[in-house]
Amino acid sequence: MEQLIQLSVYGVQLGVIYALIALGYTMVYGIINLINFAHGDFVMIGSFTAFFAVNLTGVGFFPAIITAMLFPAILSILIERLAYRPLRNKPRLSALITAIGVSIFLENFPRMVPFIGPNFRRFPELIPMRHFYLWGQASINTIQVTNIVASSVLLVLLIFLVQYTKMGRAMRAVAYNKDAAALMGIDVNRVISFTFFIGAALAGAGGVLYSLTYPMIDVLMGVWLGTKAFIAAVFGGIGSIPGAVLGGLLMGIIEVFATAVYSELGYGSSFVVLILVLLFRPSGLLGKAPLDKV
Amino acid sequence: MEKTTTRMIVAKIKDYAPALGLFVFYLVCIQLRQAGYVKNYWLQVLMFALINGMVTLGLYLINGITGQFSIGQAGFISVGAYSSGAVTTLLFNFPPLSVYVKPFVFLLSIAVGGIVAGICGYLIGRPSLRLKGDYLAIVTLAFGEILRAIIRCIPQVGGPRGFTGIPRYSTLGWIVVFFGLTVWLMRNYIHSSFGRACVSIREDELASETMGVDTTRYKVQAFVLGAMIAGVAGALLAHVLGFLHPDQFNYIRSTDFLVYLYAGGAGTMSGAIVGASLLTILPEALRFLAGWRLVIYGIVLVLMMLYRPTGICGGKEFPFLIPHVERDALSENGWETP
Repeated sequence: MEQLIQLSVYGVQLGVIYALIALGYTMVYGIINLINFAHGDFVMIGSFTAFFAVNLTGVGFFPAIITAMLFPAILSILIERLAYRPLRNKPRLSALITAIGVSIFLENFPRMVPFIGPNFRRFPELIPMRHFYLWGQASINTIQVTNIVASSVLLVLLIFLVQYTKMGRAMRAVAYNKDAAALMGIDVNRVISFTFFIGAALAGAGGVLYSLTYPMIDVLMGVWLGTKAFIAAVFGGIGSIPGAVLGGLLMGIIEVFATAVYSELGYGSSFVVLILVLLFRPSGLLGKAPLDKV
Repeated sequence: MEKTTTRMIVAKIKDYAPALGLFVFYLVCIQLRQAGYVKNYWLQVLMFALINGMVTLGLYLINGITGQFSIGQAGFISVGAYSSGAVTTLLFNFPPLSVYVKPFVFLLSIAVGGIVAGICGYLIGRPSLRLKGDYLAIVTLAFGEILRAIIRCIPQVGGPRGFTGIPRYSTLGWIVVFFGLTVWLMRNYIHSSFGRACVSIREDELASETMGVDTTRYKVQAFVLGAMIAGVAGALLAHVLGFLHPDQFNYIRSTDFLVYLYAGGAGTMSGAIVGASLLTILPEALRFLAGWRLVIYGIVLVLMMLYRPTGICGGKEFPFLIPHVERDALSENGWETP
């Protein structure tokens, strides 16, 4: 029982981070049907932004996470404008290849910049570590609480934004039908830029939270973190916001439990579950099945 | 009568010209190396280019012709590479292996690599090809990663440490032969009734099913064939490198082949070949820039897609990749021949 609770805490803590990153994939996919391969790299950029913000100016957790959300967000708007927008009406796969190109660029450019470089860096301790006992030896620490609280706050903000604001309504309209939305007077380009902005901001926050837990950061950390989050998004049903959250949480929990059983299983297990889910529900847990048009 | 015979002779020559061209290309490469103009390193880059070209051709059949999106080719390469490596290293590892037996062992290992990859392709393709578009992409990606995770758990082939000591049987000659065979097979497949069925599935799956095309059968067939080609390429790769590591074959490696295909031009075989060879050679040619080469590679990819979204070849096929029967038919009907 103790162990079960302890593993669940780890699983949820990891799961909320996956969920935050998965939201960016799912929102961009929902709106322009693009698998944004470069999204994982915004996680890394967020971590590094926070790293430099803290090390150069000595700020605390809140300013660090806000900078780490703003910088990737602005960068992602720039990338969308320069690389994805010109291809919006071209074959979908050209945009995908562009996304792969952007991702290669975002991984290798910081690697070559002298003050970042390819080495691992130690992420500063922003939250003083304290343990609270839940049940016997099962404990939860301040970092885990921060992760869960911060992600929940961001998630509530996002749901508020999408459900109750004018911009959110515009986003839903564009996701439903881009052309009709444009005819109704919605500035589609602005909405898409805004979606990229929000997605990258969440990824940046996810990067900071992840680095709090596992405080070694490097320029390639976004690659597999992004892959996991992407799979979480598909798992929940890509294009669906609640799906991304559910997928992220499940992924985190499954991964932690599988790793606890046998350490080599952790990596493969999430894929096996993903395939089983897709074979029985081909559009993910909460996704809508696409209609066949004749 | 006279005219027909000349035409037949010309057609025959045209048929064998590509094979002759490939042979001449091989001879030139070997001569240049012996004369010392080309270093072994560049010969190896060329071998990688041809191997990547084979895999990209297989992907072209799955993705470009049948319209099924697969990001799992690296998984099939790894299966082919590991199983063929297991044949030459674990099964036939007794030392006094005669020089005359070696080529047969090598061929056997390549066949094993292709067949095992084909079986994996069937096991993956059969249940998952009813998924569409991006979901199929994710399932193939996931299967590729699962294959990698399984390899990591097999201690006989090195597990997570990597598989060492594979004899380096692959030479440029072998690779040229298998590359030529792949091109020949693909050309004939695509221009056969099988290929046309695949194209009809790409254009409109529902409509072709209504017209009586057994879509599942052709999709699985194309997928298995693509996987087998990747497996053979993997077998060749294993015997070039002499060393395999599961992390060589992650999904990022699979996206490389998508990049080759779409950068070259997804609509043609020429695109697959040109894309794979150019983009294999480009990062090597930029090696003097050290780490900056990948930065430039990324920028080149983006710019290429922005200014040439249909790829380098842009829907144009090398004439020798179209069977002469088809070209004659086109010209007789007053169509412009490529």
